[in-house]
Amino acid sequence: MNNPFCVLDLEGNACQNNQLLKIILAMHQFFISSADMLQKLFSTYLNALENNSSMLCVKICYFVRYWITEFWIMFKMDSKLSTAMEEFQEVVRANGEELHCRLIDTSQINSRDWSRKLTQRVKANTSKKRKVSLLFDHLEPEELSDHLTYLEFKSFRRISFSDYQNYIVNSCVKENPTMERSISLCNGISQWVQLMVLSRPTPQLRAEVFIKFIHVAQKLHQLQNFNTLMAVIGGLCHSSISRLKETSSCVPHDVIKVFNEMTELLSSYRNYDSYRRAYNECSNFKIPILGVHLKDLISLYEGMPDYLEDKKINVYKLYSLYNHIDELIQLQEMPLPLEANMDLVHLLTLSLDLYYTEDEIYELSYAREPRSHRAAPMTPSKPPVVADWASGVAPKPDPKTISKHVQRMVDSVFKNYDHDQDGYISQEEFEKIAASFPFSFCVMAKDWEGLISRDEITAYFMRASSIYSKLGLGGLIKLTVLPIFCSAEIRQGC
Amino acid sequence: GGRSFSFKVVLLGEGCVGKTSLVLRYCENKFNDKHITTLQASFLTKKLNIGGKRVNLAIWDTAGQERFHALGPIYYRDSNGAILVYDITDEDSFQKVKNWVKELRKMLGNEICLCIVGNKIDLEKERHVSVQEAEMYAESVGAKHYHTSAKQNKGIEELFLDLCKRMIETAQVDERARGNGSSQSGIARRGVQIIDDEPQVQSSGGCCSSG
Repeated sequence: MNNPFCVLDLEGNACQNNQLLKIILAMHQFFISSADMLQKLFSTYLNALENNSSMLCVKICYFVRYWITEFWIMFKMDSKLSTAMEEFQEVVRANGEELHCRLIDTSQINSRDWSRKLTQRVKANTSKKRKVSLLFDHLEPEELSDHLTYLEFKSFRRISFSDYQNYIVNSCVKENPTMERSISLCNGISQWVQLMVLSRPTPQLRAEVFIKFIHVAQKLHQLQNFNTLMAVIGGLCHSSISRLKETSSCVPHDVIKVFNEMTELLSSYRNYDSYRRAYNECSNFKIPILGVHLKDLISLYEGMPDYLEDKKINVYKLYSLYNHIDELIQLQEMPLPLEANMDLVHLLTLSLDLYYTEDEIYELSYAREPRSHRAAPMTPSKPPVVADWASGVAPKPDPKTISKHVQRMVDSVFKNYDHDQDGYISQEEFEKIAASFPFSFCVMAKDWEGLISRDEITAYFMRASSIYSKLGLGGLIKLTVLPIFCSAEIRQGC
Repeated sequence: GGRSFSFKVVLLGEGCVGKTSLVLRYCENKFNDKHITTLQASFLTKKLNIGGKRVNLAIWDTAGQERFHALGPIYYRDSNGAILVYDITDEDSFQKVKNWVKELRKMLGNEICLCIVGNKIDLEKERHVSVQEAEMYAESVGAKHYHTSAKQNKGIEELFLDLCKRMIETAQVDERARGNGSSQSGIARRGVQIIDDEPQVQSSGGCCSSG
């Protein structure tokens, strides 16, 4: 910061303009680290002390006081800041100004229940057990949309003010786990939608799943959960699905019409104009398309200069950014208008966690409806990357791939169920998990008692998957695609 | 008057490679307070006149959304050109460009004009992506390679001008092909807009319903 006094100049107006002060404190990290800002305040304080201008000293202390009360979490999270604070306090104490000491006292911070505020939990409406089926085919679109919304809101609520700030500055999710989690949930939903469609063997059955997801999308729209809506529609728009001509010929026109309306609503045309309109008209509970708002924040951040003439901080920039982030944060306080069944939540969590590469999904897509040579576009020379896909017609469940997927699945299981992270989960819990996989008929080792290790679980899934391929259920495909929702068809099969 | 074209260009690449600065540089005159407050900032347009042909360029910045896979299809559909940006000091960002190329070719085949752009040449000393490798790769996938510095405003005008010329060429080839009655190709669905007025809402419905 070129002018260390600018903050203090603003502080002069602080009494009349709390909002501005709040914004400066909330957003200062774009320009200067918290520790450096405190350092500057500290040296200004020392100067003032030397010049006997006690008014300025008090002002500075009030400023710091406001910082502590409104943004105490910064002092908890930023060790450099708290160290700088200690130095400051020490000097003030040594100078014997009692009022100043009291103003900049931070001992109250420790008594705060700050963990609660950091990881906000969705408390609402899980006590009443909502009865739902755990079989995908039996799940109503509304049940799916409700539970997806529950998960979405849970991860959306965890994104803090500073997570948004960090994302704007760094443009990446490194050391930003809440943002990363939210984005991977979105991607997970989008992949899951594709895989659920692709898991079905005939065009007719795939069309049924497609139709079901259109109904889920409608429900999500009603719930005003635009983020999940985007994930679902994005999944259905994906070329791995849109290329399935046999499937789409089984989808009725009225469903296609709804699908087109949805894509229109979410279209990026005129910078998401139709989405923005719809979103702004919604009141109460709503979940925004995070990506769109992150883009806005980055545009604001990059588009507006940091400083104006005379090296003055561009307060308007801070103000715009603050308001945009604050609006997103405010939405976290809305009560969730639905109730959730925790078993279904767990099953969904697990299935959405499984990660597939784009290549694997395409492989599946081409296996379902092979590239037709007749229908190939007349463009003269396709680059090799496209031609490569023709070879992957029949997915072979080689042990290495299976092992990789099982490993991922076990990782997911442990991520979600090994609460104390000791590398074991309880047998009771394992049985719950195993029962929700399509191969739950597989033999359980009977002498498992109490706790089950990672290796044992991995071995279980490996055994189960090999039984799968022997049964001719498609090995890899079944194993990876039907991790959660056992379809009735398979149950009968065994 | 002369002919008029409307093109959509999508800007892709990792976070921090300088996509936004690049496009802001190019459309500087377009970026003011009004755009910011109405949040049209990321929908940037530019009007050009190339040899008597008027071109309306709509540039779609994907900053902040790099990791949202679900948003991808929404972005690329109907694009006439794509600018894939990497940071010459960041090898990983170049690898990401390769993923984008793969994805775009899968989605749109050869119908999209690709530019691969090494940004931040002001940091030449810290270069981690070899010029030769990048240029060879670009050629192998039918893309053109450029070097830019958003910071020093280098290479940006040339990049966009060149891309526009290529898109005009492609559009004219398409038009001729369609005029010859061979409209069965997949070209039509992408909807190269050749118009004489402001762009209208495009309801191609294309890649989703028809597959």
